[in-house]
Amino acid sequence: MEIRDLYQRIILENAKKCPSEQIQNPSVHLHNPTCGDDISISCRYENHILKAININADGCIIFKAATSFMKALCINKTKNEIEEIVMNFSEFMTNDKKINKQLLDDAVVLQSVSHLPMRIKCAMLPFKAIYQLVNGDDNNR
Amino acid sequence: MDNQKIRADFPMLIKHPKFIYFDNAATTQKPQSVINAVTNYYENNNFNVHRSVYSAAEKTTKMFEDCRIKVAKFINAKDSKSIVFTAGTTQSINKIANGYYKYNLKKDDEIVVSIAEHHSNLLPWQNIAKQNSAKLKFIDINQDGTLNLESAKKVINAKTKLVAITAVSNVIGTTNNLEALIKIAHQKNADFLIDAAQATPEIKINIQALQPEWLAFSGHKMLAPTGIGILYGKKELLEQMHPTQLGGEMIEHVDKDNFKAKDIPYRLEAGTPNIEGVIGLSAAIDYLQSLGMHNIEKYCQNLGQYLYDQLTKINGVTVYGPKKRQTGIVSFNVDNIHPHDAATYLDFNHIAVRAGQHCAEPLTHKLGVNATLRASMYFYNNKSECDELIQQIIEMRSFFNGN
Repeated sequence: MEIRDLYQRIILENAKKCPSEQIQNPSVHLHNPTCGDDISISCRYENHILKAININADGCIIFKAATSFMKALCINKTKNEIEEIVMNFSEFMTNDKKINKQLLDDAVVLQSVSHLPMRIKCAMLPFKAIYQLVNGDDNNR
Repeated sequence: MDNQKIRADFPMLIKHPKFIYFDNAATTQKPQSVINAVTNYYENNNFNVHRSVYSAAEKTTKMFEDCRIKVAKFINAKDSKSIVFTAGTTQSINKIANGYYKYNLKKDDEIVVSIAEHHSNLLPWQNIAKQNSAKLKFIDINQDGTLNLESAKKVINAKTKLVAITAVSNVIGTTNNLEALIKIAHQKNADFLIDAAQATPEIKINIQALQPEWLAFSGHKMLAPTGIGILYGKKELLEQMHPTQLGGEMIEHVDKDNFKAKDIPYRLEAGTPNIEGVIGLSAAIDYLQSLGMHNIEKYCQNLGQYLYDQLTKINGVTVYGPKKRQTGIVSFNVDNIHPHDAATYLDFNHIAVRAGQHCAEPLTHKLGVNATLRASMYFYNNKSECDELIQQIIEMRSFFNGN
């Protein structure tokens, strides 16, 4: 693997697009203690569909790109659809099981990360956050 | 010091000539002499210590106990009974906290640490302070990362029972003025603990000159195997210390000639000890002393200064800590490149540096960052390796930032 495979243009561009919005009371806040990747997230549902996702995230390129991909993948989706995306992404990162790549869209460019065990956590953090969000205590989904 | 000759003593460096190892504050590589000592122990002297009367085991016991004397001399402690073998700095400090201060800290007593401590010299004190309703107070650092002595004078007072400070910051590589700090502590009748984990690899420690109550360090950061460490304590304090681990061995030493049951340090070393670790530590100390601690200190200081000077010449690189470098540890950040991405980039180019908070989260926050890159160098590193790192950082900036 080359360093270019890990840091492709599309990953660098999506990292730049990583949202950093002011969020008063995030529903989920996650932090990676080894490197400081940090994500706060809240959302709004309409008819069981996730209509808005507000994110304040800061960290490394892999994490920020994954956050952008996650937001694009999860908007306008139901809880069940989001869970399926997260499960697919998790398997994509951690093992060779057959996954539905179509569900992951542009996020498949993160494949190189799966070869770097120390960086998988960076890519997983936003997906972990959205998973916790849709499985949280909010009643409005 | 002949760098090429020294490098030839380290199999890892010989077998991986392109690999640049700059993570020595995490652990050091082992010279052939240490590896041989451990191998020789397993091939010829693998017997338990302090138990068996047959001569082979006695020989191993003597090797083991000779190391205790060697460690005492290494840190210039008066009496080898003050030397307790532990698993490492973390276990040493936890033993001091849970075996001594747990029983000697009253409500509203105070423990003082600095904001620059490794978590190993912070969490045990947070815990004991909570358990005993005592208070934990912090000495601040100056702008350049050095410890603020004025802050120390304010924070340390008549209520202070213990001041626990690192000798060398594992993040920014500063050495603390132990003489001054110990003087301030002792004037207020407070005990003093030196976390020497990052100091013993590079700096000569002199217990009799400094007179601390406690000192802790690890073998693996100074060429020895992992899982072996030292707890030094003044004898009168060790004698009052409660063993935090209990087992038959601590009261049944069968070597009738040399040891008494329940005497220090043995009653604080329950269970079969890390014998290979002690044998390895002994060989490590021999190796360090063959080079001379003063030479090692000077070499690492020069190398740290060289890397600092080269790094600060690059636009957009922030180096933490003072301009005058005291050790081979240099922490820095490159503008707009997260340390994790930088470390991955360098890894792809065969350079091992650490990225993150280096087990000292309060300090990284104090520096105003989430994480840093850390290059920690030792006496087997050299300037051409620094030059290679500099070159890679310049290329990395254009890779990520396009400049």
